[in-house]
Amino acid sequence: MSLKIFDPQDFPAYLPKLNQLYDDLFTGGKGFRAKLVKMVSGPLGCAPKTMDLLGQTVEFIHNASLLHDDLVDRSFLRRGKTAAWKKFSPEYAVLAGDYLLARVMVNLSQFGNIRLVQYTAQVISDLLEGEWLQDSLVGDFNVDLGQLDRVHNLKTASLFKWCLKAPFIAQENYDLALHQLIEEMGTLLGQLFQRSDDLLDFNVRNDEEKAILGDLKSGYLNSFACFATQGLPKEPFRSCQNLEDFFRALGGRSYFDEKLKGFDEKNTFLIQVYQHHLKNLKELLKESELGLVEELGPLTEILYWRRKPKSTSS
Amino acid sequence: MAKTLLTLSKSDPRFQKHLTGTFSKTERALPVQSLNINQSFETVTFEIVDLVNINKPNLISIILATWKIRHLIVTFFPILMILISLQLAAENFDGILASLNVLAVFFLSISVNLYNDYTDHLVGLDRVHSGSGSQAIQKGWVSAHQVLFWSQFFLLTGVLTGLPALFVFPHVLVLVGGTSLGLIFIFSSRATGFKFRIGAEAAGFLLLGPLLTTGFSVSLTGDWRWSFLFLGIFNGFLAVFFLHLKNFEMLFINHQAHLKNTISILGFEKSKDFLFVWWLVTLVLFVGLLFDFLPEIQSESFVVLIVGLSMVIFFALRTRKKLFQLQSPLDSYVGHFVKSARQSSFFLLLFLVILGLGRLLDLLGVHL
Repeated sequence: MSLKIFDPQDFPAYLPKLNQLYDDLFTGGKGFRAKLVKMVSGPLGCAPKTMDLLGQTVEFIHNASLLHDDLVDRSFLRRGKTAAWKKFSPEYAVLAGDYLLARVMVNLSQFGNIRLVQYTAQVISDLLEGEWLQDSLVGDFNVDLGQLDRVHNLKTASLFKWCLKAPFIAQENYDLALHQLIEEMGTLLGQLFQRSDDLLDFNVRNDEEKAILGDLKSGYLNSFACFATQGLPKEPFRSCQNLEDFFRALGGRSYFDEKLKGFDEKNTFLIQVYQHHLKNLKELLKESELGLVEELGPLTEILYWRRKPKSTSS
Repeated sequence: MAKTLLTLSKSDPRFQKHLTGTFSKTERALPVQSLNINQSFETVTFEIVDLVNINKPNLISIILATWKIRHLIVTFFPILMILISLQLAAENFDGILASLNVLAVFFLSISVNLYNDYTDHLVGLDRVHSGSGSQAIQKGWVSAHQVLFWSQFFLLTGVLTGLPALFVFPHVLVLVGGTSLGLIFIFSSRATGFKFRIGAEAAGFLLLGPLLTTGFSVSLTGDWRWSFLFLGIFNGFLAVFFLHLKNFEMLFINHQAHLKNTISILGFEKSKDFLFVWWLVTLVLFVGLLFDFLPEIQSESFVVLIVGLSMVIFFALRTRKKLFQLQSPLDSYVGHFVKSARQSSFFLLLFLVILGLGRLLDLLGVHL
């Protein structure tokens, strides 16, 4: 499935540097969200072209947010390469993000399902609200986990919810109970993914070798940092430059491990809630769609524990 | 250990019983995840827990949490000031009747606090915000049904305790008492959803303001005064200020739950201006009480007046600084600001109480 081109009108060659910018952006990404959409669309019997459209839509929205994010945060690197705003210009980065969102609307509206367009527009709006709120929390080291969860529910979880719901909408299945259940599952997946991503910042299960303490150095207390530092004075954490500084400020490596255990326990409960919803999902699917449950089952292993489950189909 | 989970939608006949805790005598349904609160398509995932496995604190802790004792300051401050003023004015009133009336107000206040916890749990506010309400229901210490029962018990007890006053001064108290009870019902009724609308602010102002002070004064002496009405207006402004502060803290959640009040309508930026203006009005009313409108406690001491005015200026400037530093409704300093605003209010009330008690001790010939 090509993530970049769905329609021949996408990324016209006459616009200078446009294709170069997007080629840079789309190579190197894992395309996980597009894979998730395909995982859901397949058992629902979506046509291949519909699956391509949905995959491209979610990757476009995700990458648009990355283009803008990197500029807002002044991050120099994205996926091991120079960020678009730095390599090209801030103006091009903003326009490139806007352009991706515009192409999403053009291609979706051509598909003809107005509810899908409406839902996608709502998700983009939620994503932007989440970004806005998150930006207002930079430098605020007294934020609590509940507040962060509210931001992540808008910012991260909304796309996961979209990945689960959009294929049903594309197939014109609008069952309310089903959509509510899918929404709860998407919320949990988004939360687990974000929390796992936040752990990478502290080199926990960091197989992809993400930069350490990137969030903290940018003045942002992520979900694990929030959990681990609860009740502690926050000033010592502002000047942490490496993990050793963080352990010292926290009260030692053993305290860190204790907090990590507690954080994992908290998220293990969320995984249990997810599995509970998965069982309920079986009651709402048609016979031919039950393969979806097997596809969705291992996701928490992949997203939170960052390990391939014993039997995975993708 | 795997936990027992159950997801129910509002349309499910079991939903209400699990939410209120009446589905079982040996188990409790703790809300784990609530989506789309206050909507017709709300769903809640419960964790079903045996009562014996719930970690409950001792009874005193549960009572202190659910009765919200510290919130009673706003109710008992004007009552205390009225009692002090009447004593200073050498107005006769029956001590037993006064005690019964104070108890009646106490019981009715507890009833309202408990009912608020009940309605906030049912609507979902306390389920999605761990800092809202006492959390006693959400943690499984008590069921919503139990809270409702005790709320109704204290309402009845309050009404019965206040009945003697009705016999002593029937002609005016019927009006005041009837209006108050009606407002309490409207304020807390889920059926009308009034509490979660802007009218709750007006009702709160009346119930904890002029109606409280006028009603209490009438229940003791059969008469009312302009000074007590003014005291009621000040107290009403202060009480609604606390309500606005709570709504400001919950702005984001109220928006997601489609709950409308003055703060949610104004939004984050305009609310800051609104809160500051409201606070200034409250401070002006405080100055009025200090200088003129509560003549019994009014001090002729220049020092006292300077201290009072200094407090007003200090609290006005401090509130302004903390308020306009806030960047976002999720800013952690919102909690600090709200706490600081409450503390400032507490000091103002304490100042007036000390002033009144000082005058009383003076009158009694007690010199410290």
